[in-house]
Amino acid sequence: MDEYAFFPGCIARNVYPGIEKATRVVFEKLGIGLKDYEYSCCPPPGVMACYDKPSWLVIGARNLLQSEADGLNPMTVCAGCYGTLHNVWYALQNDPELMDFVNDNLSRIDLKYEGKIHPIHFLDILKEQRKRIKELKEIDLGLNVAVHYGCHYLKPSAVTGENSERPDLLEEMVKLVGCNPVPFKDSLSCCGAGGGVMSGEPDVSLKIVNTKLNNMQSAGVDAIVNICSFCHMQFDQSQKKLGATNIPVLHLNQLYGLAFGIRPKHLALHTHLVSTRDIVKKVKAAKKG
Amino acid sequence: MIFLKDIGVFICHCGVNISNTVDVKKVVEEISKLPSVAICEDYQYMCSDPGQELIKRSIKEHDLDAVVVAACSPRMHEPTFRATVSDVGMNPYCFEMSNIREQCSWVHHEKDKATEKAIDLVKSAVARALLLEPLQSEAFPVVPAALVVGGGIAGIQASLDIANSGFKVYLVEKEPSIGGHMAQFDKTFPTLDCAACILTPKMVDVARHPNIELLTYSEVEEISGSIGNFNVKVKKKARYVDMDKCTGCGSCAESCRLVGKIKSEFDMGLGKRSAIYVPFPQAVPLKYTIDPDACLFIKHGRCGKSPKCVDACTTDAIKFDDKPEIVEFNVGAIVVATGYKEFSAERKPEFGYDLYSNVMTGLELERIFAPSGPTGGKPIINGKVPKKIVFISCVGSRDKKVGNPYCSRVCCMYIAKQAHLLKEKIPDADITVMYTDMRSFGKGYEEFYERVQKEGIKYRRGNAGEVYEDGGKIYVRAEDTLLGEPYELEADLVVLGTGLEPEPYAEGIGKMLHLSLSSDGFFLEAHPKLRPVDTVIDGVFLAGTAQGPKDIPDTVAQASGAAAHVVNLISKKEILSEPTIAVVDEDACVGCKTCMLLCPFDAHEFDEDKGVMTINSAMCKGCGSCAAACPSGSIKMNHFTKDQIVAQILEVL
Repeated sequence: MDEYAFFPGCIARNVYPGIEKATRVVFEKLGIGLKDYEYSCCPPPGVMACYDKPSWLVIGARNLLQSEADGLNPMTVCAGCYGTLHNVWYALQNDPELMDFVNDNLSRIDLKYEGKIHPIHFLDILKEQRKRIKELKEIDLGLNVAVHYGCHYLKPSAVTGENSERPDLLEEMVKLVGCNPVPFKDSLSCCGAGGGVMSGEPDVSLKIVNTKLNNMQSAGVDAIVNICSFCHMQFDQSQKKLGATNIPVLHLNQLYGLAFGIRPKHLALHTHLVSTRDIVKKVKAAKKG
Repeated sequence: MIFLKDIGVFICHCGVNISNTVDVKKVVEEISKLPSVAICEDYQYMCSDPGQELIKRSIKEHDLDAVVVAACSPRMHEPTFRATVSDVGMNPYCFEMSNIREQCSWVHHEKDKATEKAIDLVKSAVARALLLEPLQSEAFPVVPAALVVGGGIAGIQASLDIANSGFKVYLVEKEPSIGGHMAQFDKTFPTLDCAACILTPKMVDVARHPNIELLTYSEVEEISGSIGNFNVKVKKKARYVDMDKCTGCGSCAESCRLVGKIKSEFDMGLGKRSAIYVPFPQAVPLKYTIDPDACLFIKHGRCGKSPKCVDACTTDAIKFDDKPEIVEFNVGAIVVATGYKEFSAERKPEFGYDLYSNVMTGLELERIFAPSGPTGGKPIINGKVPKKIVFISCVGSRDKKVGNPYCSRVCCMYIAKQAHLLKEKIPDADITVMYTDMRSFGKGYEEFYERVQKEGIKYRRGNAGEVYEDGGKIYVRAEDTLLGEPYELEADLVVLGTGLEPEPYAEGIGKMLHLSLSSDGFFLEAHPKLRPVDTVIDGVFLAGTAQGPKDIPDTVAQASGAAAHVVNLISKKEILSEPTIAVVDEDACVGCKTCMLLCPFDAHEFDEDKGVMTINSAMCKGCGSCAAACPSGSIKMNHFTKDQIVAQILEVL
């Protein structure tokens, strides 16, 4: 059985438990094991890496090394956590001096990072499971969705290896469960949360997300599908603050959970601020139809 | 043996450059004590005439066997002093230079220690000088002919200059016509000369020149040999048209079943041609070529009842049984003028070049402007005259993301020119240029830039980030870095100021000739300032954009420079080889061929009869790799023998 170290990240753990739950359920169905470790905050790639890079590297490396003895690669469900773990991994992989610096600090708590494991975003695991996902699908959801990648999953392309200007993987992944990815204006723009903007410049952050939400609304979508807990939180919470739009927000694992026939409550859809009632109704209708 | 040599040592003050930090008198005093030193003198400027006279006089008076000059870098004055000692009959390789300026006085402050170091350095040079051996140059005959690879404006200019000096030139061009990229341009900046009007007379001169053998639709297959005598094999691709019979009338192309169906490479795919074609009306030679990838008869063995071109040709020139032919010849020198390739705009997906038909590259717009182009010179894009036009500069240049940190040097100005031409053709057009920095450095360029601005072309600093479609319209999103704010412009036409990249075809030529590349992928010149047309391979010269992005005036100047160097070389009956090369001791060589794999110049050849390695003295550049690697120690690197180097090292340890 494939097994990964599960790095849930602060938001999936503390703010949107539905993401954590859906991930566990979906991965269980797929037959992929998830093991838990003593993780801290990732810490965030925008704020922390800009203000205190040394601490960011050391804390990031401490998280990475947790599963090293077991040889398990840490899997994230948030583009932000992925950004940190992957960028720290990349930096240390390519700079022996930084590696020495990090290990000097880690030695103070009797730890050592070897660089033997490789962090991975859950989408990159699921993309290898396309056949299995189709097999597990009980309901063709038939939703029109706006897909949102999360900047740190795609960028910088030199590090992530992704086609950051014209990605199509997430579009393909929602099609597997009968959803229709609707093109909308500036679909690759930032959600406005990252880089400390949500906390530091709340007005700017809301302005950015407002534009994006309006573009999604104009395209006529039933839901926003994301692969990042932080973007997920931004879309859900800011709609309450702005009050202009009302588009349900689904993490990809919640979407798959619905398609696999998991009860919406078990995916904690009722804990979202923007009501998911319409989605649930549509899914029920799709199940019958 | 060593003790029988008399060495003369000459210490230079270099004005105060050396003597400020090094106690020259002390150095003289110490060196004079060495048993093999017959004379040690100092002088203000050893490279001056009196300084050189001092050396010459001393050689004669003391019957010296070797001379050491302690002064600046040998790169500066080794040739000077070698000539000095030669003048009075000493072998120039019995001269040794000790660098006590760059490697001592200039980099130290404490006079005591610097003096001590200078003494060590000079002692070390004396130790080496004791072991120096006289070396003799060999004379090689020079073939009075040249090969020019590439028939763009650089190759054309170089060929004409060499041919006009009375030498035979083989000009090889892979396309059916010479002319290169310049033939694709409409007007040239900043003078707005019609490119064809100034280029075609030169193309015709090439075709008519009695000294130029023009090999179009041909590729260099193999180059061997070295300076003075390169053997070249060129493949003339099958043209399927008899060059002697074809009159260039064009009846064949008009009657071809595929007329107007094949994308014209010359028109950047915007225009269409037949399977039998000339790239453009002014082609030289004006002989038709059949495209074997398109021609129905060549591909499928039949074309209706009979090929229409055959029926149409009145001179019976169509030759379907044509075969490629190898032409072989020898030349004394080679000019590499392989040119550039336009950056592939698909590599910047954010500009949507592959998505939107009204996003085009600079070179494509040139074809739109050209009277012989797909729209007959009318500014029509997708059937409409564009009114809102945006130019984006630095597409594929100054962009680390695509691996091109360099400036392409022509885009700022071709954009200015194209903006001017569009404004002339569409007076009410609203034209904006999004630029990174304006680089209008050439003669008359800044003035042209100012003129274009006065014509109402808007320049906004800061590059574009994205081109996107919304509601059937195209928008360009950019940041104005002077105002510090993002903005968007609607556009009917977006022109990408695509930069220059090395022509991929050049890679093969580079490998054949063992040329080095600079970090930008273009061919590396021997010295960036003082030897910009030479390469490190003797007898091989660079012209035009093969060496790096440049405009037409710079290209023509470099081509003439390369031609002058070629003529300088091939006008000599013979040349002297550099004797500082590797030589094989045949008695010791076991024939393991380790050296052969290492040689970057292909100078090693295995003698099967004797079972030993031989080194071609004309091709060896004296890099020493083989001598260092030889497991049996049977390769000697002349002038840098193991004994000489060890003696030199031991003295400073």
